Amino acid sequence: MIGEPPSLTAEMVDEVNEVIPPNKPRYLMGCGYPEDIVEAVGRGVDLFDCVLPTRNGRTGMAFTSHGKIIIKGSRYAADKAPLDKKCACYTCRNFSRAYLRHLFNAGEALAGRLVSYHNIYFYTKLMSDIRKHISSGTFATFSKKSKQKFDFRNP
Amino acid sequence: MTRFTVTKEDRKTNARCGRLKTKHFVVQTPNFMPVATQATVKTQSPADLKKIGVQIIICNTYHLMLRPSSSVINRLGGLHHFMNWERAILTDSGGFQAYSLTDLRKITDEGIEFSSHLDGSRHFLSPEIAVTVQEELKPDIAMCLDFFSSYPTEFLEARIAVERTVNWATRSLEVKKKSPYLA
Repeated sequence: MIGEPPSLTAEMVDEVNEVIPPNKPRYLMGCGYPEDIVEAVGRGVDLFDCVLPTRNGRTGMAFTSHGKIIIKGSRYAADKAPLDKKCACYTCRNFSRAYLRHLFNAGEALAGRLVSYHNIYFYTKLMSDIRKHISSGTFATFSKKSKQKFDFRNP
Repeated sequence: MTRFTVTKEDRKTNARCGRLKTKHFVVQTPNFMPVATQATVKTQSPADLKKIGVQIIICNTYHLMLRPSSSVINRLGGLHHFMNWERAILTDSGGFQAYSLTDLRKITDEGIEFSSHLDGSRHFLSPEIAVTVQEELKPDIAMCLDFFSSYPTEFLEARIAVERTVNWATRSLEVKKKSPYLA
């Protein structure tokens, strides 16, 4: 996974899943960006881990339903909106982008904490949405839409 | 004892839903584990994680065996008690960081000898030791030590890595069978 191009990871996941028992959990260590997770779930992976939601949270990058936000940017200096209007997490229900930007610029410890909280919430919600769509038989459509929408990997 | 049940298989893709029943929590899959390298998901309290709905986290054996040590964590009752997290914990084998973070590594069929990235002290990680250390940490799921080739790699190099890993997995299983906590 680490250091390989995403297409090769997908190919390897397929190779491995053909030979390992279907009744055992499949764990893709270190994966990944939201688009990588959706892709791997469609190939039969059950478990994921990654430092991205917390590491990026501490440096001010938020995963949102409309793409990534680098909160330190001057465009957010007076922005009253939450990180993600569609998000119901504590950070998004209570704080503006302008406040979060201020916390980062002032070097306050709460800054990384609030954005990490949002990012873990985003990943946890993504997994719960994935499970709901598999259960209701709509995962293929959800996956296609998500992969078109998510573009977190590219700088 | 951990049990995995597939509860739903998608018709159009290979996606599936499942239940991973561990000692502390029934984890719904697919799921994502936030990383608690030093027995903490950086900046978040266990209460925060629970409120978000996190069901399982991953802790790093390499970091915790060096500091504060698996025996200290064991004396405090294992990871769940040490960090006050009630839900599932997976620990990795420690192998990846022993390869990637340390200098002066010596890798043989027996295991990996390495210098700590903290103070340079010499340590040894074998498949057997990885099981024993994790037994002291008391996670819900432990991982066996693996050996991996670099990327890109040659066929022979990859083959040796797989064969060594299979051998290490067999040795891990022998120790695990005798473990009162993991068996």
